[in-house]
Amino acid sequence: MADLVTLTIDGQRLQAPKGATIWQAAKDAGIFVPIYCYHPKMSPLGACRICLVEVEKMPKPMAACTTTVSEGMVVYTSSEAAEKARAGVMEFLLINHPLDCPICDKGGECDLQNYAVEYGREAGRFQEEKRHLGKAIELGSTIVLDRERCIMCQRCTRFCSEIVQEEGLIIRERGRLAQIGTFSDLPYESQFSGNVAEMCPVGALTSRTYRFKARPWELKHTSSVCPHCAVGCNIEIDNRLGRQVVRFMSRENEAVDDGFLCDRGRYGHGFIHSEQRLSTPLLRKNGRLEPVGWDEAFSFIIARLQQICQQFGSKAIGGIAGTHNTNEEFYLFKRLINDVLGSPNLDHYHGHFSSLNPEQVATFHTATIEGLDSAKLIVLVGVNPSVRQPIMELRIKKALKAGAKLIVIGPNAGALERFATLHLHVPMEQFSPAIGAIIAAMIWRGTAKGFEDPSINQHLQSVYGNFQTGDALSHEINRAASLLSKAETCSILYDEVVTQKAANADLVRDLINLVLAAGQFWSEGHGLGLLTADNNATGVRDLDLLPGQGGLSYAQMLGLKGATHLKALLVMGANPLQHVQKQNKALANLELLVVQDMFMSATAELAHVVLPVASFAEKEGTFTNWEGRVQKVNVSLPPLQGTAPDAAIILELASRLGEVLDIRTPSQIFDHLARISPLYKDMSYTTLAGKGQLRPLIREADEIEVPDWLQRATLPTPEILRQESEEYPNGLTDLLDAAPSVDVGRVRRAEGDGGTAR
Amino acid sequence: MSVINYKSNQIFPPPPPSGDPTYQYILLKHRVVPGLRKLAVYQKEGGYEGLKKALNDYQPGQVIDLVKQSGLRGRGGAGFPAGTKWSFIPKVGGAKYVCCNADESEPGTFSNHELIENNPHQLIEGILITCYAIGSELGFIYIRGEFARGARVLEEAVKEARAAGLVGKNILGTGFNCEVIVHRGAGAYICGEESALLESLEGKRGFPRLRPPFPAIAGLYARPTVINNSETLCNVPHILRHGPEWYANYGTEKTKGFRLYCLSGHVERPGNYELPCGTTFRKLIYDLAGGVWKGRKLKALIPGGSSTPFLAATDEVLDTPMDFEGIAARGSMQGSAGVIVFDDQTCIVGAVLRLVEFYKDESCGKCTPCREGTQWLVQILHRLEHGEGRPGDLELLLNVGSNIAGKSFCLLGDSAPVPIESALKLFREEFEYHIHQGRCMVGPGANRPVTIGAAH
Amino acid sequence: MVEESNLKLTGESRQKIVALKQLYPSPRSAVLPALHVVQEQFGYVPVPPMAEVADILEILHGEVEQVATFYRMYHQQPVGKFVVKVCDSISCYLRGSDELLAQGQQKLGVKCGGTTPDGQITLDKIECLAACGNAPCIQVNDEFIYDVTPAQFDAVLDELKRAKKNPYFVP
Repeated sequence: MADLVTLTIDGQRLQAPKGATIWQAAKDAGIFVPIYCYHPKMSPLGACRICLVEVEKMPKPMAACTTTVSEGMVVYTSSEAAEKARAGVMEFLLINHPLDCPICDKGGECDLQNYAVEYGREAGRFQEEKRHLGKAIELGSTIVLDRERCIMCQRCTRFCSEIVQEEGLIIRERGRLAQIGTFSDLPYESQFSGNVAEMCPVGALTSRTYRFKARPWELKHTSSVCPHCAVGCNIEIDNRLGRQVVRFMSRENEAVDDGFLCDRGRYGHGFIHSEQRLSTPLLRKNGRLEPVGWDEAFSFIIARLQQICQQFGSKAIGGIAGTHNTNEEFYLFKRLINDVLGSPNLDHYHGHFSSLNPEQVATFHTATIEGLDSAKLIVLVGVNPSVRQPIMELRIKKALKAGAKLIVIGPNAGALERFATLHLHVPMEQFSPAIGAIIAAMIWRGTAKGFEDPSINQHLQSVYGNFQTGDALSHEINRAASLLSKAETCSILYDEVVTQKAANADLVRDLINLVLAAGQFWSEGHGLGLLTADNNATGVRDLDLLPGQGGLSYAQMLGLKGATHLKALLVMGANPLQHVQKQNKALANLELLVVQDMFMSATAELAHVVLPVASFAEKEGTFTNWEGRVQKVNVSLPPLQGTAPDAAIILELASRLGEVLDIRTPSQIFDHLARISPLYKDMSYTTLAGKGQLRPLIREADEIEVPDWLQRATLPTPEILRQESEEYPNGLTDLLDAAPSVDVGRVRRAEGDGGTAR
Repeated sequence: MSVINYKSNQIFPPPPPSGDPTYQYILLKHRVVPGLRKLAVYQKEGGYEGLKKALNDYQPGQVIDLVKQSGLRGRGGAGFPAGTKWSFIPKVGGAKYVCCNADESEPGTFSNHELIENNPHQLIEGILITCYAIGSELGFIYIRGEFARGARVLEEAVKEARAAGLVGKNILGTGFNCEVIVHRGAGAYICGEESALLESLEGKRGFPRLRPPFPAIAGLYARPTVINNSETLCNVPHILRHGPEWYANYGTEKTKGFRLYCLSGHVERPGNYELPCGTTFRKLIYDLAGGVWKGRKLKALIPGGSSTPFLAATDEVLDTPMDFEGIAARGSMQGSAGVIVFDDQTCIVGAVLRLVEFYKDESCGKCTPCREGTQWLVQILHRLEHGEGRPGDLELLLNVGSNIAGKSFCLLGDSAPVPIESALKLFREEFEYHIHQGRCMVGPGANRPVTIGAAH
Repeated sequence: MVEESNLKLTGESRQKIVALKQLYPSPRSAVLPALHVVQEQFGYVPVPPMAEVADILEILHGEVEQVATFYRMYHQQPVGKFVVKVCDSISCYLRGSDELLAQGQQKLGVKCGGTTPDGQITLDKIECLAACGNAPCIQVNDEFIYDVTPAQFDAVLDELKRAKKNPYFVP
C-alpha cells in the first residue's frame, strides 16, 4: 500500500495513512494523547499544546495534532521530555483557571479536570494574582459563558466561523486579554448554539437548560436518534438517576450528523416530562372525554369495532398513521388494519410520487447525506433545510466549503441562499415547468453525461425535445443547464412538501428525468434525494402504509373527496384535523374515532377514545431517515405511568380481536421485515445498533431501463395543473417555512401551549 | 570618524572620507545624496538600472541564480539565503506574490524605518526584481502601522514609479506587469512573523499559521509567496546592477555583503551603521560610535535584537565578527543586527523585566505557553524588581521559561525567556541581590530603597 | 456626545473603503486599511462603522471586530485630540523613557492611558517604535519625535495643549 507510512509510537510499530497526524495514528493504535483545541471537524490549530509529544530527531516537542506522520518516525508520548512539556502546558492552563470545580457544570466530565489529575503537578507553584474576568455571562437564550474558565482553544469560534459560517462567537482582544464574545456584545443566537457548549472542553460555555441540573456521575446514557426531523441525528439521551431526561448530547455519526445537533433537537426533550402528557386513557361519556382504565377503553373499542364490522363490513374501518412512530409500530398498525380488521383503508399524510410504489421511490432516490461531501453541484428544489432539516444546512455548507456549487430553485432556501451560485426564483407552482425547461436546455447543449446513453437520450428527446423556454428566466435556465451538464457529481434534493402543491404532483417524474440527463443515476450517493421533514416519514412509506386495493386515501378518509362510508377510524400518532377544515363532517360522523397520542390534539378532542402512549425515549425500535438509513432507538426510561407504547396497544387490540400476532417484539418484527422486504435486505436488528444501516439500492448496478411511467403525455407548462391532486385546505400553508409538525407540537408543548405532538 | 549616525529629519552628515574603500554608503546612499526619495534623483544615481538589467538581460531563473551567487542572506533574523528561498516557488501558472516584511518591531532594530522613509524606490525596485524572478505580478509591502510617514512616502513613490512606467502594465516596454500595494499594519509585533503577516494581510487577526504548508507553496491567499525583509530586498537592485561578484566581495565567507547594524542603548552615537558583514563589535561600538556613553564601561550587549541572548563585555566578545556564524559561536545570534549596549550602571533585573514585558504585551494569545507563561514571567520579575523576590524565584523563572521555550506555537514564545536565561547566566548575583536586599546592586536604584509595588 | 448608533461613515470614508476593497485580490484584505479610514474619521473605531465596513467588504460583522480588537493602534474608546505615545521598550528605557512618562503624567495630571479633561491630550506608552537609534522617542498621533530630552518633552506638551493641527506632521 503506497498510501501508508510506518512509524513507531511508544515502541509500537504501526502503519498510518500518509498525511495523518501523529494524534490520529496514536488514536488508531489505541494510544491516548490528550487534546483541547483539536477538533476533528475543524482545521487543525495547534494552539493549546497539551498534545506535545517527543519525536526523535526533532529539536523540540511536537504537537501531535498538527504534525503529520512520516516514514520511520519515532514518537514517544510519555517520555520524560513529553511529560515535562505536557505538565508545563497543564500548569499554564491552570494558573489563571478558577478553582471552582465543585460548582462548575462541567465538573466530572471536564477535560481540564481530568488531564490535570493525569498530567499536572501535585502542588501549584503559581503564587501571583489570578486573572479576573466576567463570569456567568448570558450570551444569548441558550448559552452561558464563564470567561475565567476559558482556555482559548477556539473550538467554539472556529465552529461559528468554519462550520456555521454566520455571525457567532468571536475572539476579542489579544494575548492574555483575549476572550470570547460576540460582535458588539449582541446576543448569541444561532440554531446550532448548543454545539459550542458540547464541544467546549472546559466549563466556559454551558447550556442554560442543563445548568445545575445534574452531575455527570448521576447520568445514564442511552443511544438514540433525535425525533425532531428526518435527518435522524444520533443522540445520547442523558437521564438523571433513571428518572429524568436532562439533556440530549451528540453521538457522532459522520454519515448522518457529523457530530452536530441543532438546538431544536438538542433542547427538544422537555416534552418527555411535560405536565400536559396524557397519562390515562380517555373515553367519551356524555359528550365529554373522561379518564377510564385501560380495560374499559379497550373493551369499548373492541365492542364498537365488532359492531361496525358486523353492520357495515370491514371496509367501514380505516387507519391513519402518523410519521413519527417506529417502523415496527407501523408494521403492527398495518397488520392490525389490513389483516386483523381486514380493511384496505390505510394511509398517512405524504407527498405525491406519480404513482411510484415505495420500492420505486426508494430506487430512484439515491442521494445520501455523506454523498453531499463529494458533490460538485448541489441543486435544492423547494428545500429550506434551515427550518425543516437544520443539520442539512451545515452539511450543505460543508460541501460548499469544499468547492461545490449550489443552485437554488424556489422561493426560499433559508441561510443557504447567500451561498447560491445561481438562484432561480421560481414560484412553487412552476417547479415542473422549470425542471422541464432545464432538461430541454440540456438537450439543446447536448453535452451532459446522461446523453451519452442512447436510450436515455432518446427518451429525454421524446419527452422534452420540443419544450419551449422563452421566458424571462431563460438566462438562468441556461446557466442551470450548463452547471448541470458540467457537474461531475451532483445531488438534487427536493422537499416532500412541495409535491403536495397541485402543480407539482408529477414533479418527481421531471426530477428523475433531470437526474438521468445529468448522468447521476449511477453515481453512488449522488442523484436525487427526497427530503422529508418528519422523523419517520420515510419509514412509514417504505412500510407501505398506503391504501390497498380499493382502499380509501388519507384525503378520502377525511372526507375531502366527498362523503365516505367510513364508520371507524384508528389514528396512531397523527393529527389529521390540522390538514382539514375545523368543522369536518367526516370525522364528526364517525361512530368510532380512536387516537393514540402523547398529548391532546385537535383530532383527539373529537375522539371517542384517546389512548396515552409512550414517548420515543421510553421504547425501542427503528426510524428511517430521509436518505433511507435505518437507525435504532433504545429505552432510556420506562413509559410514563399510565401510558403504553403504541406497539403494546396494537398487540392488545389484535389479541382482543382474536388474533394473537406471533411477531411481536421490535427485533422479531425488524428481522421479519428484513426477510420479506427488499428495502431491508441484508439488515438485521442487531447490526443496526450503533451507526444504523443504509437502505440498499434496489437496482442492478450500471443498468437501468427507462420506465414507461417516466414518459409524459403532456409537456409540463405553467398552464397545466393536475386534476387529481390532493391539496389540503389547511395543508401546511406556508409549506417551506413550516418546521416539521412534530416540532410545532413539541415546541409549543414546552411553552405550555396546545397543538399536535408525538 | 568615517561613519556618522543618522538623525532622522535632520541634515545628513557628510560622506565618509575617501581612501577607506571598506566604508561607503550603499543602502544608506540617501545620507549623501539629498532628495534621493524622489524618482528623478534616484534614477540619476543609477536607480532602476538593476531592474532594467534584470528585465532586459536575464530570464527570471537567471535572476534567482544571480542572487544565489551573491550569497545574500535574509536580514529578518534567520539568515536564510534569499535566492534559495525564491527557488522554492513552484514554476506553476496562476497568481504568486511577493510580500515585503516591513513590520519592523523587534526592540533594538530600526534599519527598515530609515530605508523606507528616505529611499523608497530602492525597496520598490527590489520588489519588482523579486516579482520578476519568481513570476509574480503583485508585490505587497506590509509596513508596520506606526510608520504612517513611511507608508505615505512609499505610496508617493509607487505613484511616481507608476507614472514613469516602472510599476503597472508592460514595465519598461518588456511586457512585464507588476503592481505594488502598500499595506499598513495596525500595531502587532507578531505580524513580523511571516505567517502572521500573511494572515494580517488577508484581513485577519495576526495569528501565526501552521507550517506546512510553507508560504512558498501556499502563502498569501493560499498561493505561492515569497516573504523577505525590507533590507534584504533593498540589496537586490545593487546585486543586479553591480553583479553578484561585487556583492560577494564584501563580508565574510558565509555571510556576504554589507549590513545595517542598528546600534542603540548606552553608546555615544547610536544609529544605523552600514558595514561589511563580519565587522567586529569593537569596531562598531568603539571605533565608529564613540564608545559607551558618559565615559562609562561596557557591561553587556545584546547582539541581534531583543530576542537574542546577552553577551558579556569581554575582549573575546568585542573582537567577534558580527555575522551569523561568529555570533553563534559566542552563544548568541546575529538576529536582526540590532546591537543594544548596556553600561555598567544598568541594573540587569530592571532591563530584563522591560525586555520580557515586551513579549507579554505582544503575545498574540493563540498558544497556551506564550499567552500564560509570558505573563507569569513578568509577574515574578516584577516582584523581584520591586523588592518582593522570594527564594526559589530564580529557579522558578528558569523552569517556567523552559516550559515556554520550544513548547510554544511560534518563535515569539521561544524568545521571551531568552533574556532571563542569558542574564541569569552572566549576572546571577544581581538577581540574588534583588531577592535578599530588595533593591538594585548597581545603578541609581542601588542607593535608594526600592518602592514596593511601584507602578510600571 | 454623539449617540453611538448614529455614528455613520461619511460618503468620503465609504468611497475610500470601496476603493480599498477593489484594490486587493480578496476584499477581506481591506479590513485593516478600512479600519484606519474609520479611525481617521472618528478618532477611534466605534461599533456601528465596524458593521458598515463588514457590509461593504461582504464579511461578517464579527470578523471585523475580531480584527479591530487585535491590533493595538485601533482605539476602542474615544481618545484625546493628540495621543502622545512614549516608547518604553528597552532602548528607550535605557535612555530615560520612564522619566519622560513620569514627567508627562505629572505635567498633564493624568495617568498613563488617560486623557486630559479638555480632551486635548491622551498620554500613553507604546512598545518599541523602531527608532532605537534616536532614543528616547515618542509619537504624537502618527508622527515621530526623536531624541526627546525632558526639556523638549515639556515644550512638546505645551505646544500640544494649544495646537489645533498636529504640529509634527512631516509630509
